[in-house]
Amino acid sequence: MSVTGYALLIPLSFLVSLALSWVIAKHVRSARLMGVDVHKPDRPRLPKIGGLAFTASYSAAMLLNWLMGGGAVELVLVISPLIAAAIGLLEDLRELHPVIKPLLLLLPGIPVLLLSAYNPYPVIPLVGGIRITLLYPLLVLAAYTVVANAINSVDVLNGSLVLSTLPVLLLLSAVSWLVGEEAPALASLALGASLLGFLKYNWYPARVFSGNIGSNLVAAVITTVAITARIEVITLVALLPHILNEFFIIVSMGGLKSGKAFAARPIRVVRGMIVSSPRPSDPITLVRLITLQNPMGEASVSKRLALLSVYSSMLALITYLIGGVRFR
Amino acid sequence: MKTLLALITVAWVSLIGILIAISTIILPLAQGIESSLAASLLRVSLSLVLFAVWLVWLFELAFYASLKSRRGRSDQK
Repeated sequence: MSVTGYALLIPLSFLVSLALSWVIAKHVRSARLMGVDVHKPDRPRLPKIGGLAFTASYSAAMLLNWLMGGGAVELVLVISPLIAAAIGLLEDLRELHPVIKPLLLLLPGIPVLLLSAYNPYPVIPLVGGIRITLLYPLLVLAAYTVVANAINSVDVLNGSLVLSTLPVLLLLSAVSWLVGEEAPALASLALGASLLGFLKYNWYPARVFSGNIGSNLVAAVITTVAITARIEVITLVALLPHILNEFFIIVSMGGLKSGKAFAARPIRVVRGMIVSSPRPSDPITLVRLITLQNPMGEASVSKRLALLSVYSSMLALITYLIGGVRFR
Repeated sequence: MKTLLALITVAWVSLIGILIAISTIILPLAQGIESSLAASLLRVSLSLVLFAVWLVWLFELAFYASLKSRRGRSDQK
């Protein structure tokens, strides 16, 4: 991919996402596709399939990239995220069982395995190349469901999905480029640009939600980039806030359970401010811990989630640099 | 916010510690074994055990955060 290609696809992703987000925010009114913004005093109903905008813009950009002479890696960067997004859309339309959803999210890993777009010799910082030919395909399948749940768990406030994943995508793009993997670098940038276009309508006060379609797409792109660029551990470090959040939820809820099935909430909204729940038994989440000492506005909490993500992305960069001697 | 930054730092430092342990203890240990299959099995299984230990450690961090959360609320009362 030439510099001209980058210069064309990245602004294209941004503009298409911006335009489609506007269309969804303005025209989608079907009751089935609307969700309640529970953190606002008047609890407005908003379209919950906003993720469709950046799914379309990202997919179009990466499909063009594949058509311009791409191979297996370029193809899985289109197919796997689309499968994950389709599962997310299904969940947006009807509630999925909390055990069925992780099983369905094994599917995006299948194209990676079928097209052999992975290398079972991952390069681990500080360790070097290791050979796990039998175990690696199983880890590929599991990675999609783990990352999807972790990213979905942070998509709870206006702008939180975009702000908490943009630093990770920029980091993945930079490291992919440094290790000589152009397609994953382009995929990260294309999605970052798409998310920026979407943010205009998702930032506080939001006019549209990303929905599971959006969070699943972001998770699948990050996972596919990590696998195809062979930067699995770097990605793990960058996603530490998301992974810790998922752990907090699993630990405090006593296993994989649907949040909608619980009356208990980690936070409350008092006069437009987010307040940590006073009940010890309520689920522990990053948002609850952030608002523990002082009630905060929704936008402030989203900005703090972004700060955590910037910090973990910096740690990921340090991990790459200190492991660089034996990397590649 | 400071607690969360500290939690992320502790999780990262412990992960780096595990990578160093794999590099300096497990890999040299496996090099001393003549059978390549046995050496490979030892490398993978011990690395997985260490990774599992890291996951358990993350769970412990989650519990710590949970305790801190409860204490924080009761202090405010």
